[in-house]
Amino acid sequence: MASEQSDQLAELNGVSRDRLSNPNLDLQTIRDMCDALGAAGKEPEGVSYAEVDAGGVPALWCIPAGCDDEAVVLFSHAGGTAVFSMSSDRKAAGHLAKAAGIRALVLDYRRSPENKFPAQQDDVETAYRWLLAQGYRRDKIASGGHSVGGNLAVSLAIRLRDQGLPLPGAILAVSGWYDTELKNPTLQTVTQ
Amino acid sequence: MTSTQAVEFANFFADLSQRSANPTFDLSTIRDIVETMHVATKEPEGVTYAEVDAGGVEALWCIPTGSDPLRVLLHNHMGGSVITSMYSDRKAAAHIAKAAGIRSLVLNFRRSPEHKYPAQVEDVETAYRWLLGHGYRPENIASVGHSIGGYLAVALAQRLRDRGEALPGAILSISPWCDPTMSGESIEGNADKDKLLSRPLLEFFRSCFLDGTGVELTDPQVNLLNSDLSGLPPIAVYYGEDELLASEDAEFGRRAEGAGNEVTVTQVDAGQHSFIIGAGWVPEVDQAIAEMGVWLRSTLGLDAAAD
Repeated sequence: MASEQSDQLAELNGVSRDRLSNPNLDLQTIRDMCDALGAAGKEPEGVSYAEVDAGGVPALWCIPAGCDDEAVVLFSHAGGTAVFSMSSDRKAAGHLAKAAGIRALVLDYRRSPENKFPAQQDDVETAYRWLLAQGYRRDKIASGGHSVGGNLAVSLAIRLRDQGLPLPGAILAVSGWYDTELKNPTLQTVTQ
Repeated sequence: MTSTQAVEFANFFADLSQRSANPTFDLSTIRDIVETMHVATKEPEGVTYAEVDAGGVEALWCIPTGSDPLRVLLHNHMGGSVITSMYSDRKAAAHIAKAAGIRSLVLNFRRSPEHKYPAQVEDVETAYRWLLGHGYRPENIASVGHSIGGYLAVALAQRLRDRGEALPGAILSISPWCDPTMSGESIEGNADKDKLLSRPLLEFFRSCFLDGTGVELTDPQVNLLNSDLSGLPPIAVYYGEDELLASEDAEFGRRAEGAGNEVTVTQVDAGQHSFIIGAGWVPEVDQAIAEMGVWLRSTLGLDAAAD
């Protein structure tokens, strides 16, 4: 059975979906409203943050106190490439980093429609190569993300594989969006 | 000479104000838009965070690595009592905490118009008493805030003084909103330079804050320029050269000093209202925050304790 807190989160998401369905909103306002949802995440204690330029991609380190120095999870945020940001994902990534005891690098990849495919995949690959240049071993890098970020986490490994390049050590895809044709039957059954 | 970063920061505020001023937006949408103000603040490194229930008031600890365990900054956010939050103020508060080497408790006081005056002052007092209940001594607490939070930082000390209770050790009041009658000359004089505040916005704030309460705009409970400023702890007032509130903030500093307090007043060159939001990359802002840190350490006796 779902917890009371899980039901509260679902209700919050429902209210947001209703507010965001207003057809008069411009994209910037929709982005602001989505980013404000970041307040729903609780602060993970004992995690500090640092902004960094990851080879041209703006990114945010989430650094749990006492974490492993050699491993990192490269993390791509949700939002269908159009909304959300490294700021709105900060706390969720901080929780993940803390649970794993390793740093997370949350990417602020370029968003669409201003920057369409494959800008997002390009940015993830750029950040991955930046990590390698910083001395991280590829087998100590996890490719992670949620929603479209889950897609990006898998895509990174596919791109590297197809180029015959060394692969990251793990892929963590949360609520990944894989089927852009939207043929998944749960799109109908779970919409309520 | 004004830095290019300060100009860029002012332009950011101008854009934010313009986007949020759409008359078709409801209050929750305006709140969401202005909440994104935090992107203008760079993450301070080496600070961790923890949410806490401060006696019924939502709050966020900002804890710089190696900070003093005995002292605390009680921090109140901006937004006219209506908008922004402990979330949008997190990084700015953490920069001040880091500069001082003292942890900060950022309050998410109840907002108007849902909760009108004196809900905000009551929440600050509740959090202050919660700190005392957790063993912090009054003289080790600095009452801090900016904009409406700069007013709240002073109002807390006045309430405690009026009841004959122990006062906090310092007041750091940044861009305080002192005069809801808006009679200061810079309300008009800085109208073109202030990229965040406007007369209609301040009118909206004061209406949300006070309408229906029976409290007049001249009431000393909400108008610091009409209030008794005697018998307060050391006060540091900071304000931006270009803000609507510049003249009332300077006047507040003069009156606080005239009332016999130890007062330091600093005008930040080319400073916008609530300029601390530009922390981490605007040189004028970082310089001011560094000075605040030195003043807080000295006034709360941290340097003396370390010797």
